[in-house]
Amino acid sequence: MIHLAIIIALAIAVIVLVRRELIQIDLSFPWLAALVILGLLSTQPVFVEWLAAQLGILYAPIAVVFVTIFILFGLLTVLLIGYTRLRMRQIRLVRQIAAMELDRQEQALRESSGT
Amino acid sequence: MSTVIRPADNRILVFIPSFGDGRSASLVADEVRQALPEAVVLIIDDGSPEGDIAEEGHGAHLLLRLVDNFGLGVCTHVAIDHMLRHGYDILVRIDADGQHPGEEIASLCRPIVEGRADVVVGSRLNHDEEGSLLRTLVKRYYNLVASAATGGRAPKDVNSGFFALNREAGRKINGRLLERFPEPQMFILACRLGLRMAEVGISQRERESGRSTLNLLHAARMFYRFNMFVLNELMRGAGR
Repeated sequence: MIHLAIIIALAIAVIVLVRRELIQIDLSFPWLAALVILGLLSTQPVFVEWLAAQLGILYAPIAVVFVTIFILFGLLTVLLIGYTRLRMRQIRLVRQIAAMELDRQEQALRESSGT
Repeated sequence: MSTVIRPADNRILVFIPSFGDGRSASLVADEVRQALPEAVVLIIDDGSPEGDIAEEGHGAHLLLRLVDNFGLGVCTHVAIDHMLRHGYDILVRIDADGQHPGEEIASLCRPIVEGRADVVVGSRLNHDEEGSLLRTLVKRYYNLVASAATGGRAPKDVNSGFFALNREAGRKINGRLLERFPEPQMFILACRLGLRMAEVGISQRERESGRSTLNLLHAARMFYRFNMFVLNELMRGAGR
């Protein structure tokens, strides 16, 4: 029952974060949802045995660990791509604002020097 | 032999990146204006504390303050953007700490003015005389790797912050995203993009004020990023 309570608590935490717009639903939510679902299903021995059989893993609980790592890797990749895009946008924005300010100063410079 | 840079033929933009070097940046700007009166001097304040560079009397023609510290790579992009948008023929970068002599700018620009080069690096002749053994070893590593990645075409001093480039070089280099400490990356890129390189030997002076922003953490990050950049370039193949 404790493990179920932990999984439900995590699920509630994710929902609260999404509702408060602290995490974006398009980026990380599918992966977090997958973790929660995996967590719930992994309490069922039948599912764990089936998963291990599908993956060809002899020791069944390792199958859950394997899938968890895969999901975390997917989540990390999505976040890294998001971070990179954000950084690129930030740099483009800085360059655009800098260009506007320098254009203004260059114009004033040319006017003052009569060119 | 003196070089006459004819302002009518070659519009020069000198950019001085500054972070906490407000006073010495102004002194460098004054020195550049004396050495090359027709050049336009741009100071880019990369997120220094407020009041580091005075609004009036800073010595430059143009002053840009960034709201945060974005790194030399972004500052270089901004300077190249301005160069390309406003028809400058040559962009010169000179550091704000006063280590690069302003009177050497004419020598630096000469190969470009004479049509012999697209990028000219001011290689520091006396740089090995200072710094710790570790610093010297790291510097030699950079030069070795840069030389290997460019078939020997890289300048001897790939970390020099004193360089000049023409519009063609600006266009090509601006097409790639520059790192926080972009010097080795820029020179390696320039070689691999087929740009003509030249070097001019200069004597570095003592730092007038401020201190190096290169602490151990930055140096480690820079070292890591340099190696990742070279690896990435080698995997990409020859530059396009």
